[in-house]
Order: sequence, then structure tokens, then C-alpha cells
Amino acid sequence: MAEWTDPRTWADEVLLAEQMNTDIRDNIQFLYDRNYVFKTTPNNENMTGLIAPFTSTLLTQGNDVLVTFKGVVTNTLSDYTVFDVKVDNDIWLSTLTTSSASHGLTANLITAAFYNSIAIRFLYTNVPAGIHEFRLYATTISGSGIIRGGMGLFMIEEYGKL
Amino acid sequence: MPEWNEPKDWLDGEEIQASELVDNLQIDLLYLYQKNLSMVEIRNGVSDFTEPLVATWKALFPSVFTLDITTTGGNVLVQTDLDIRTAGAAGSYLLDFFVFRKGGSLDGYYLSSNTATPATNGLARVQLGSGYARPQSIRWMWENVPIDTWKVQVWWHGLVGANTINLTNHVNQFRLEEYGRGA
Repeated sequence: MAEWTDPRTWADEVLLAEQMNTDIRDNIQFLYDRNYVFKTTPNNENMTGLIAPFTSTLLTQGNDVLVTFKGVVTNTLSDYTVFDVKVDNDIWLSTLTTSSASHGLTANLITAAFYNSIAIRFLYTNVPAGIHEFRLYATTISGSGIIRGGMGLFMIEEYGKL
Repeated sequence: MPEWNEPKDWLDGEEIQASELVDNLQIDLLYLYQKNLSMVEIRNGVSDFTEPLVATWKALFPSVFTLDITTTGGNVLVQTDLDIRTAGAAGSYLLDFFVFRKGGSLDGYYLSSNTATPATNGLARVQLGSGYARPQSIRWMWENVPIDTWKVQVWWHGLVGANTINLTNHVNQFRLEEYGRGA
């Protein structure tokens, strides 16, 4: 993937190929590619605790990052299913601290064994430049229901700056 | 929609041609600004669309929910936001996206499996009580799409109960967006 470079301010100067390649070619290719990673689950992935397939790393450049998850959940009990995302094995997005909120980023409660669509869309602002790891977690508030999902899409995208 | 051109390598000493600036600046910037989007919708004012239960996979309202997209070699983000009501007791059904080359026959594949046989639960399994209505969204990344013009549809499969599927007369959208290649 091409790297982004803040576009130069052009002056009365000899135009160099290097400038055209950096400021035009690479930046346009960067905008086309978009800076994102994504993971999908196979069918009926067990979704208790750390959802291992949904771990992604992204090299960011100091901007905001959009974290999204779309999937289907079910629970053998009529019980809450809670989802949260942990960054760099340290910060939970539900609180932006090292402790997760009791209902995470989102919680789902439906009749036992029913299936429901679930979505997370969270803009994580002012992410320092560097490589960051994002992990999706799921749990239940109480009970012992097994949480399973249909197909899911977990996506991390550098999304500009507020 | 402007066509995407892979940005050229510029060389020292070359004379820049207007056609190169048109291809590599004008058209590519327009492509990035406009984005490669495709969308259809069913909205208020149209009666609920009802499909009887069919215990096999079939296209959902294909006269409307069929989209074309001409791809440039990246990924495609496929999304639908539906407002669905089921009529059967504890009705359940599966949803998937089906893609095939425009002009070709229905010899395409399901995005849940990238084969002609969908995954067990498709891309989404939904189960509601009788007469329940609920928003249902699917968001899926179609990876490494070959350069071509494609048709994409929403397909469904009834599973349980004397079930029908209704798209309510609220807004239901189906969207495609070419989404680059990622990091």
C-alpha cells in the first residue's frame, strides 16, 4: 500500500519526478486503496470471550479510526450478549480506560435461541500514529448461554480527522 | 462515473502531456470524489412486498434489488438495510448476497462461501416471533473482485413455520461501493 504524505505547497521551482511520484502518484493511490483492514468469521463461530478471528492490526498515521462490527448473534438463554473492543490489549473503547463498561459498546437481549442482527460503529479519535491492535470481545451478563453468530464483518479504517 | 487509472510513475526529464494530467489528476480525482457507488431502494408509499415461504434459496424482490457495478480491481463493500416483518410463528430465514457477471447467466456465487453453494446460515440468520418487525442490516466485504461489470442481488431462504417475508413500506436500501484494496 502506498504511503500518505502531506501534500506539498508548490512554489516557482523546477518540477521533479520525485515530487510528482510522492505528492500525486502515491497520495492518489493511498486515497484509492484506503487505509483499512477487515476480518470475517466462518459460519457459527463460537463467540464467547475473546473472538479470536476478529483481531486486526492497522498502521495508523495519527488520525481518527472508525471501528465497525456487523454480525448475527444468538443465545441459548434469554440473556444479554455484550460486545466491546479492546485496543492494544489495554484500552476498552466503551470507556476509553482499562475497564470495560458493564454493557460494553453494545448489548443485545432477545428471546432464547432467536437470532438478531448486531452492529457496532465507533469513531476512535486522536489515535497516535503507529501499529495498533483491535480485538473484539463478547460475553453474557449472566447465565451460561453459548453465543454464536452467523457471518460477521469486523473492520478497522483510518477515517480522517475531526 | 469516471474510470479509475492506476497512477503512472513520473520520470525526470519527461515532458508532461495534457492527456497524462487528465488521466492521472482529473479523472482519478473525480473517481475518488464521486466514489464508485450503486444503490436502489424501496421506500414509503409502496405497499409491503411479500414473498411466500420457499424452502430454497431465491432472489429477494429482484425487479428492484438488483445492482450493477463496474469494478476496477479492488474490494466491494456490499450493504443492505431492510425493515423486515415475518408472518409465520417464530419464523426464521437466511439472507445472503449473490453475484454474477453482467450478461452472463445465473452461474454466479454466494458471498457467504464464494461458491455456488451458500454457507449453512448464509451471511445472516434471522429469527423473529410471529408478526414481529425489525431492522435487518448486512454489511459484507467482497474481496479482490476481478475487473468486470457485475450484478449483485439479495437472496433469501425461508426455514421455519408457514412463514412469509415482508419488506415493510419504510425505506429499504441496497448499496454497493468499491472500497479500494485496504492496507
